[in-house]
Amino acid sequence: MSPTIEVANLYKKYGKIVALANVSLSIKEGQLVGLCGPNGSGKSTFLRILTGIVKPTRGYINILGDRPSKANRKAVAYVSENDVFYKWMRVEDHLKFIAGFYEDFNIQKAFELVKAEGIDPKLKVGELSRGNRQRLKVISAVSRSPRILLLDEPFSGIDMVSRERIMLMVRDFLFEGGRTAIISTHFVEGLEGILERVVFFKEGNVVLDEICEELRIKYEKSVKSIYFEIFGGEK
Amino acid sequence: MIWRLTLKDLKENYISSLLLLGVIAALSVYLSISRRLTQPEVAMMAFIIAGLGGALAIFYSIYRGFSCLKREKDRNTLEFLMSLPTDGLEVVSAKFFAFFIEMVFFGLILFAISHFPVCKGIAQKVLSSQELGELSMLLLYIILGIVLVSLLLFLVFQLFEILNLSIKPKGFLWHVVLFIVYIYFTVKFFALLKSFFEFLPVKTYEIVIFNEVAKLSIDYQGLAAGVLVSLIYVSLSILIYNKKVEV
Repeated sequence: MSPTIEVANLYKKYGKIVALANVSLSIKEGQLVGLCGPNGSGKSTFLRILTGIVKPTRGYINILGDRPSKANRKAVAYVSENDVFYKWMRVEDHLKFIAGFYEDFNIQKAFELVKAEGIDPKLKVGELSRGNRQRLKVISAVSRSPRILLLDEPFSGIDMVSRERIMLMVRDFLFEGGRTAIISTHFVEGLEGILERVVFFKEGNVVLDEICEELRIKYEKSVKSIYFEIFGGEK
Repeated sequence: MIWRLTLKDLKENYISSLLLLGVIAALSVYLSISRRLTQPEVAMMAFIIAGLGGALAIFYSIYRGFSCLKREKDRNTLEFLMSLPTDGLEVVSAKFFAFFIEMVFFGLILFAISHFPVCKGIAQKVLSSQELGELSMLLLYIILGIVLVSLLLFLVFQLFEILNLSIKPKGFLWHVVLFIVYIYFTVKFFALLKSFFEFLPVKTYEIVIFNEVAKLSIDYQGLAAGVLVSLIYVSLSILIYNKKVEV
């Protein structure tokens, strides 16, 4: 079976700064992959290149048999780390606006999720808390049936409840088979239980790429401990 | 998709558009009243309102062209737009259509205001005038010209904004240098294209309004060059957006 995502020698430079230095990865259908690493290690750039909103300086990318394009963005859902909202829109208008771009957007599901998360659809997006805005981003992504879900730092700056709710939504999304998700995060300890594979980024390079279970057996340590060993967080 | 984006842009800009119309309306009322007290010349008043509207429309088109994508980038919504299944054709066209609708609406309102000055006495005088037809035509041409120039300026500044996003010049000085070079080449390019249309006429009409002769020139060479510049700049905007713009 051909991989869902395949990149080879992916290189990206912003001015004089090398964001990605010849990254090669192959991700199979159905995998939940965690991209871990400190700030500026290239995780976000990698996800943005996969979405097609950033062009690589050079390298090969294949997503669902094609280059990142308008066509295959229909099969990819991207949740940015930034506050990418028109804050003057009401929550319901935001969902309807997105629904107009995707045939598979389930507006009913979106409203049910919004209600379940306790978000008032009549509120303006700018009036929501950071945690609720983050949840709304994830709801917008999982209300479709994309084959690939890309989440960039979905847990940054939010409370534990929002974090837990987002993890549940991602888990539910993956429960339907044939879906692949990549999560870029610092939150290694919280995700360790659900991640299938981890890729550690450091200064634009992949320094570790392993299946979590194999990693734990091989080093007899948790992924979090290995993360701290590599990035020097804990003694 | 284009119409969804157009609608979004219209909703986003309706306050600034209304503000523009409000300024025109307020100044028109002021001018109507003040001119009626000093010099109740109806035709002149109507042209002043049209001219005033034109000046404001030109500033507004420059502002809108300049800020069309910058605003999206500054608040991260450009990233959101680019993550949707859209492309340069849709994003750039939607921005243009939204501005086009605003300008047509603005032109109509401006025509209505300048044609029927709000001051009751002047309005009655215009309405009873036998020369109303010629005055209307002249004003219509002027306002049509304003709308066309505004659209051209919007496209010129939109392309500059897209160039800015793709080149990403660092520092204010580089922005200024890029702007001067860009405007210089745009003017030269316009002049070059205009020279290709020398076979087209520049017609001057003389219209008698309220016993005075008004001259109206319609520069078909400039019009053709403007249309061509617009088409080329729109195409370049779409091309550069698709190939070079990133967040």
